[in-house]
This record gives sequence, structure tokens and C-alpha cells, in this order.
Amino acid sequence: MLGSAGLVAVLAVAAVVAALVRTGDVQPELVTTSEPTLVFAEFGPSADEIFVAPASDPTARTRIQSVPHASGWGLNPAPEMVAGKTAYTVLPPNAAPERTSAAELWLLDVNTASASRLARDADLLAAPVLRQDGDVLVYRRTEEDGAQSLVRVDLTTRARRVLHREAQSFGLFPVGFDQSGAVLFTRLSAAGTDLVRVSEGSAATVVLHASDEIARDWSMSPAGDAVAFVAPLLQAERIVHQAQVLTLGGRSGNSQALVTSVVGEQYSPTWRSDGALAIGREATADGAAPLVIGAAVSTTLAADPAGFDVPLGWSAAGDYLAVRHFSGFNSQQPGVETLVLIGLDASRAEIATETELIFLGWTGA
Amino acid sequence: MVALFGAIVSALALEGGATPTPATACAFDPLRPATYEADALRERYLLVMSAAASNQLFPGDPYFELPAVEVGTRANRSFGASALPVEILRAIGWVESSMTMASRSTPFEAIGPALVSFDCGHGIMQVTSGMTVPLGAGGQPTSNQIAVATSDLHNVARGASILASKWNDAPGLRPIAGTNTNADPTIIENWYYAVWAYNGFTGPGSRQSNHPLDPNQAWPRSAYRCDGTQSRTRYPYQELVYGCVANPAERAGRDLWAAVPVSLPDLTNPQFFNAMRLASFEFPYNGMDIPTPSPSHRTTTPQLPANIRATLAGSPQLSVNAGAITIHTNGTPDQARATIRIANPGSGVLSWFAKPSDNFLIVDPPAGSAVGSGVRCTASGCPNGEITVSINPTLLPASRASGTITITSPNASGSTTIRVQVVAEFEVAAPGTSRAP
Repeated sequence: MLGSAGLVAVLAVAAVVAALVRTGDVQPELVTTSEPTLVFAEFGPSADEIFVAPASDPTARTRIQSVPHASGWGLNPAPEMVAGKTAYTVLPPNAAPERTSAAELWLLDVNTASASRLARDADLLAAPVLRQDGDVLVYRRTEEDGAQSLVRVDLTTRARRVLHREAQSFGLFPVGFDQSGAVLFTRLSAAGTDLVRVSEGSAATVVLHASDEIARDWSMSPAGDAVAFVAPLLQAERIVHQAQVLTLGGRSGNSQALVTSVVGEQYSPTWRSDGALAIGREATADGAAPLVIGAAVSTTLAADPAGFDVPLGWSAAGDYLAVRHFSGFNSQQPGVETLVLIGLDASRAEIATETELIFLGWTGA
Repeated sequence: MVALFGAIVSALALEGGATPTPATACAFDPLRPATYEADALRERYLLVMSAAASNQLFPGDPYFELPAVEVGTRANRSFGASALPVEILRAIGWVESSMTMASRSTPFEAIGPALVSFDCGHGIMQVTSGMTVPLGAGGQPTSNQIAVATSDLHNVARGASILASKWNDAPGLRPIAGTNTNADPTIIENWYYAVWAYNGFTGPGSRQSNHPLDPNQAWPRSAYRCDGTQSRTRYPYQELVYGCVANPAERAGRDLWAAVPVSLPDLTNPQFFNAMRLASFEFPYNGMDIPTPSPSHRTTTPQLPANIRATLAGSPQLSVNAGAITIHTNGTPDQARATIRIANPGSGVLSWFAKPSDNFLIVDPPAGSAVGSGVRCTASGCPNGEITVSINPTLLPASRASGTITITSPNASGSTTIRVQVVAEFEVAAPGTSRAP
């Protein structure tokens, strides 16, 4: 019964990689001013503590901020940090501890260890996204009539403007900004998941019907010229999510499977600054470290003997990949989750904690 | 159609037991009732839940009894026993309130401000339905509202009743879990949709989404451990509850209830995945019916003494220490207010309500509890209820005024009326006039 519209036929992996992974002309500048530093939050019942830690020694963590919140409800960060800045939604301590409560939207500058509130009307569960230059973000709010709005915030002036408003779909989720500065978002409806593009003063247009189902884990390429995501499909009488990539502005207008040689579940495609992608995959007999798909070759990172990894984000120079490591086998039997740094030097370092860790991003090289 | 569907979903989402409904006022606003908080190991509350799960608290009371729970699939539905899995009730109580009646500032075995959330959820079960506005005559709360806010037995019973009504909403308004097990309500896994609905049967993408495939929530995600180490932001409500069924809360080094390794729907199995498809989330949700997640687990019916209700409820009696009070608004601070003590010379926990005759009388708290014999109350303030009476001088009709405060109880007979004399030592202007300096 799984719908197939929007999912393209299986392609050979080499062809897909060559065609889809951009190594192209617009390369983001690599930040090489300092060593890679992980930024993460440690969940607490009434406040999350934000830490920075050098990738070379994650135990040497430094607390830079405390984020008080409604009891039990931790912060929800943007998927990526930009220029040392990230944004998050959080239920303030005096809010009803319910997902329906209006969340606050905060901007955190890790370089100055300072946080400033941007809005009080955000949807907790919809993560904000930052533009690649870190000057603008988009967040979601729900209006009194139930409509959802995507709100653009100029981080220089703090001016807010509704960029797009809809009342007739299940939900909208900001994805990122393309090369022209237009906002990409996904729309869930009874028909499935669409990727939609909107820019100020223009009507929203559907870029891609990504799936008849719920496509998820959307990731914008560093250059803003491609998006990756996972969508469910039926494989051997089992529903698995597999990675897809769409080149924006391409001729076909279709997404394509990122890698077809890996059967089973794939998780959270995550762009590296050079345009390569890491994807997680369910546990196999020989371990299941993320697969890195570059323009020329595919490589596998250092694996844990047991469990599987779900990519979160690369350090700027691509030396480290932060992952959620699960001790189990797949989404149905995930086991226990930990935050782990995988180095290109085949190292694996687990971030010790007694509570849940929330990945915020990287600073430094 | 989608817009219509959205409207229906929004409407239905507002009816839940702990449904997060934005409220402009609660039953006792702007004041907060007081209540009794039982022991730290929740022994009393766990016993109350066991009794509520088998309708042994208030059978025959249309508001607080557990209704007969329906059994069967869409084509074969009939009424069964008035019972639900106590395992679910315990876990909901923990997720909603950490199983507490009073606010966090109240010690255990003490009387203190009731736990009232900003959306008017009250007490252990965070009962919201019927608690968002005063429903009694003259803008006063009803006896049912007083009981929900101040009595653990009534609060849990009402929460159980709401949960059962969520189950009974199927198949007309909700999908069925357990198509292969005749939707047997003794199977814990079959309560998946009822638990979802207790917090709002909300669809993917909405602000209040509890949909298990919602892209807002982490994927994959480890089971919720119910130990306070994981953010709720990443889990739909029903996974929080089932996580607490499988992983009991712990206090003083001991599990508060026995673990049951319940199963959630396997979303990699097309039978379950197809039920959760976007296209399936359409009223009346026929396409969302699912078989019982496996391996399934049957509830363990608690063995309770026949007189459990009498043991828990006791025989509260209302006793008030004052017949008349006088308040001097311009005197010393002590003269500007009066204190009324409410005792329970009987047993169990007395719920009481203080109703002022006039709006210039401020009665705080407006309702509360008083503890009698057979119930431990060891902290300061025990075991009596205490009311502070003060005056809103701007509403006084004259410099000398009188009124009454009537103390009643939803779980004890009798009432007491206290006469209140007010002496205001200042000149009261006529309405609409101003006084020059």
C-alpha cells in the first residue's frame, strides 16, 4: 500500500553519486581558525546546560549557558549551527508543560556565550533554520485560527515578517535557504510530503512531491544547491526509510536515491562542507558506521562492533562527525542512545553523560 | 476536505482529559485551591488507582464512575466490564504530574496549594475537561469541580473515566487497536489510541502532534525511560506513557510499580505503518485500525480488599472553628484579615469549599482539604484546612458591611455559615465620584 509517486527508480550507486553529489563551483569557505569544538546541551529536568568541548578531548567540556525550561521539556535546536550561532525553541519555565504551549525562540552566539530571545510565539516542535550567512532565520508559529506561519527574522534588526501562511495542510516545516535566498519548506498533507519554495513577494511553488508518505530528516547542502532527506518505501515486506537527494534547479525535478547498494534502513543524510554526504544505516553483522558518499568514492567511518549510528553534523573541515549511536539494531529495536564523535582517524569518542544530550553543532575548524 | 478534516481534528483535540487546551480562566481563578499531598512513595495514590481502575471508588456516580468499557471490533462492538488496565492509569498519572495532587512546593504528607497547570489541568491526572471555567451558580465552582481539585480519589476517578471515554470513542470517532484480539481492553497494548487521545488525538505536523511518525520527533528514538533523564520534546504522548509502563518511576531506590515490557506498534511493519499514513489520518479514522502490537501483555488486576473504598475515603466530617469574625480594614495587619480553621474529626480526607456571600469578601484558598484519622499528615499545617478572609475595599458598599461565608463539603454532610462583619475606618465615596486631595 506504500505510495510510490515521487520516488524514483533504483539506480546504480556509482551513477547516483556522480550525478547527485555536488562538488561544484560554489564551495563554502572552510573555517580553519581553531580546532573543531562540539556544542551540545545536556538535558536537565528544569534547565538544559549548554557546553562546548574540543573534539580532541570531549571530556574537557566548558559550560557556556543554561537554558531554563518548562519541567521535562528540553530545547529544540536548529539542525545546523552557522558562524558560531544557533537558534532553538524552548518552553519557558512558566509555561504549561505541554507541547501546545507557545515556545520562545532564542538565538545563541557561542562565540560570546550570549543568548537573546527573538520571539515568544514559536512552535516548540518545529525547529528553526538559519540562512547560510547566519543573518536570517525562519521559524514556525501556529496562529489562533490554527493556521501555520513561517516567519522570517532578520537577525540584524530583529524584524519579523510572515513569509508564508497556510491553513489547509497538516503542517509546514522549514528546511533551509537555497542559493537565491528563497526559503524551502516541506508541507505535509493527505497527499504526502511536498518540498515547497517561497521567497518574499512571491507565491509558494512546489519544487518536489517527495513522497506520498512522510519524508523527513531534510538537510540543505552547504551551498544551498541540493537537499537530502529520507522517505519510506516498501522493501522485502518491510517499511524502510532511504535517503534521497534533489539537485535544486536541475532539469528532472525529481529526487533520486542516494545509494541503492545499502538495503534496509538509512538515516539522516548529513552534508559535509565539501558536498559529500554521510548517511546512517541499520546494524549489520560487521557493524554499521555511517557511509560517506563523496563525488569519487564512498567510504565507511569507524564502526562500533555493536549498534548503528545516525549522523548529526560534520565539523567544519570534515574531520569529525557527530552521531547518535544506538546500541540496538534499527528503528524498531534502537536500544540505548549516546552521542558519539567519529574521527576520520578512525577514533570514536562517546560523550559521557547521565542525561540526554542534544547536539547543537560545531564551531572552529 | 483537508480543511474540514483539520477543523474536526481541532475540535476533537479540545475535549481531552489532559488535553492541552489554552484557557483564559480556571474553575477557581484567580485563586488556587489547597489539597492534601500523600506519601512520597505514592502508596496511597497507587491504591487509589487500583480501585479506580476497577470502578470501586464511585460506582453509580455519573460523573466519577468508570463507565462500561466497550469490547470488539467495528462490526462487533458491545459493552464489557467497567475496568481498565491499572498499568496505564499509573503511567498517565506519572507523566501528567509525577503522581502528585499538590504543587511542588508542598511537602509530602502535608496540605498545600493544589497542582493547577496553566491550561487548567488539575491534580494527579491533570484533569482539564470541565475545569476551565467555574460551572456553578453565580460564577462559583461546582461540587464536582471542587472534588476534582481537592480530592485524590475524585481526581483519579475522573481521569480514569475520561480515559475510558476515550476508549469508547472508538469506533465512531477513533480508530481501534486490537483488530486481531477483539479489541480486548484487558490487553495493555490495545489502549494505544485511547492514551494518545487522552492528550489530544492530534495529527502529524500540528503544534500538538502526538503522531508517532511526525518528522518533528527524533527518528529513531530510544524508548522513554520515565526517569527524568530524557526530554519529552522528542516523544509523542503515548510513548511517554507506555515508556512509564515499561520503566517504572523510582523513589527511594524502589520501583513504584511492577514493570511490564509493553510493545509499541512496529512502524516498519506495513500493517502498522499504513495505519499511520498521512492519508489514513482522516475522520473517522477507519484506516487507522491496527492489530495488537506484539508481544502483547494483559493487565494484572489488583487484588483489593472488599472495603477498599471505605478504607480510602473514610468518613470525613466537617468542623469549623468560627461562627463569626470581624475584620477592620484600617487596623493592624492582623485585624485586616481573619483566619478560619476547618477540621476533620472523622477519617479520610475532607474536601471543603468556602463560598462568600459578597464579592468584597476574599476567601483564600477557596477550597481545600482537611485530614482526619487514618491518613498520615505530618508536615506543618497539618491536619486542618485554613482559610484567610480579607476584604477588597473597593467593592465595599459602605464603611460598615456584613456578609457570610458558607463552608460546605462534597464528601461530608452539613455546612457551616460564618458571619463576617467589616469595619472600614475610611470614608467610602459614592460610585462614580472622585475625592479631591
